[in-house]
Amino acid sequence: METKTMRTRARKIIHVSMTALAVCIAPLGAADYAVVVNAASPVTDLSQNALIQILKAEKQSWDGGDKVFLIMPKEGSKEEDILCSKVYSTDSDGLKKYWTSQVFQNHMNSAPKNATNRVALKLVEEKPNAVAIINAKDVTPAVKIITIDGKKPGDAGYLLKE
Amino acid sequence: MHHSLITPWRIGLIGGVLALLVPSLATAEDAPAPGDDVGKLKADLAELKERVDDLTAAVDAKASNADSTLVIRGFGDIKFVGSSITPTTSPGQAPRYTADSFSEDAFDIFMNARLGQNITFLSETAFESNNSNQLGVDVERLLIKYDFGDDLNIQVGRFHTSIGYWNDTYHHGEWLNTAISKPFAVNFEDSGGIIPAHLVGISFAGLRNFGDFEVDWSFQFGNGRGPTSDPPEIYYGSQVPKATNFNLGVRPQAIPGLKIGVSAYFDHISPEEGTDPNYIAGTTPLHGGLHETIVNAYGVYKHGPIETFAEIYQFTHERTDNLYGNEEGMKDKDFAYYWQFGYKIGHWTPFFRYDVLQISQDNNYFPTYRDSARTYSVGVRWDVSSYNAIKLQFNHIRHSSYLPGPNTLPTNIENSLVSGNAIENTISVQTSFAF
Repeated sequence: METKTMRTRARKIIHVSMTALAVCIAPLGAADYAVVVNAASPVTDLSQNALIQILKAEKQSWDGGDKVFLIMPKEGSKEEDILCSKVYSTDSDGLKKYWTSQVFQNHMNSAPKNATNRVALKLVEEKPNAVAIINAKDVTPAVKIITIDGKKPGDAGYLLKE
Repeated sequence: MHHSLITPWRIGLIGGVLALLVPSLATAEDAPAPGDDVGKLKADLAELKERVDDLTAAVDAKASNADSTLVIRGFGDIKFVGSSITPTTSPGQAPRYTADSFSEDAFDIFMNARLGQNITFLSETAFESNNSNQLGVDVERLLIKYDFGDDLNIQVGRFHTSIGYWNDTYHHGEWLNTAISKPFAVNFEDSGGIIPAHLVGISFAGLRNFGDFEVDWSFQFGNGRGPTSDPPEIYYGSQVPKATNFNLGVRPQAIPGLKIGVSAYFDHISPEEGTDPNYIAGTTPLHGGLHETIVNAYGVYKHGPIETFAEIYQFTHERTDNLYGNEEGMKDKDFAYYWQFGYKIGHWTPFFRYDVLQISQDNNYFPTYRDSARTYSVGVRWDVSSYNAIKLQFNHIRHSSYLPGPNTLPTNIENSLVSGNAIENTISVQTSFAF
């Protein structure tokens, strides 16, 4: 029981430190975009391939079996730009076509909803299965930043770098 | 009990405040008010508007995860086709080709809804015009999907056969395709197509990640097709065992956008019923009972501005009886293949397609397509807006070894084609949309 509490405390410290680090680093240069999940989520790291699969809705369940609740950035936002260039290899219109195709092919019921950073953070905070991409400087301690292949926002070689 | 902050009356209240603010702001601008006040009001209004947008987005996001949320989408297209061959219509015979005509091609209503946490429903109904200037209504898909995670989902109903790449990817909405027309091989049944595009039955599918590569698979079985290739057997199947189809696609992680795969379809086709009143020995070609095997291989690369894919089909029809003068065990082998390449430059996507159809003249199962043709297509797609595309396409078709059959081309076209190596050029313009 004590070990569990210590582990939880350690996780919280790491989490708060990462958030603080991301907040400090972001203004220094080009923005990095964080992958955020619910604070209670057991996920702490994703491989680049797994993240891309989740963002493309090819992978729709977390490893534990829960459905992924994907929140897309607001149309025309910097977050959408970075995803279009680093993940989807298309533009904003191409992305709409991609989601329409996914729905039409019955791979998903409806396209993921677009939300501003504020709403995305709120939803991630509320939903244990949610994931969103948010400018690292906007991330609040109420959610958890996860690493991609062990790299966090600000690290060299981080995927979602502007 | 926890009450959500986002309730309809709160949204209504904020909307009401906004409605009151907008005219008062306009009045404020007209009146000689101090600039600071106007600026503050504008800032407040912007803040308020952003909050309403946030609330709306939050409500939408929550609703999208709720049960019984009905999603309605649709597709449509209108086109003009000009052809170098001018058909003349014989009495009682509808032309398969139309020249210099406008066409209201299809209007497609697509609906889906979540029926439970992992259960969804989908229907797709197409209103299609045909070569008799009639409008037909087809329920193209109607299914319930049980989702057991990424590894497995089960669909029951009428769905698209996961045969090859195109049929399982583009479905009915022309807006989804880069080009105007489909390759010959993947036309739908009611357009004289040669693949069983739809299947009524049960489908198992899933996707599995193996680290360096990802595999998606599907296994389907259902009624298959009957003595004629259209319509599909939607109410009862004439044969047991049922048609089966298997598709396996692999995506290597090292090359994003690449997918290669194979599929195989097996069916038993019933002979035409007993003593067909239209059967005249030696003159009317009838196929009798058949074993049908369709094997396919495909490759797709879609990454950045590049979109390219190719497919090859081999059709084998083996006679299973000696009916109608056929010889048991005799096989017809037919082929179809195509390659399409497109490159997106801004809102424009120029494309090219090479499309080949080789149907044996002994094949009595595809009466309207006993044709061999090579088609060279070039065109361009212009994405006018997010959900509207205008396409222009030129086709150069070289027909050869065409055999006249029932319900095919007007006589003058048949004559020109039978003479061998007839050339046909068509130009098409289409506006297609999704909503």
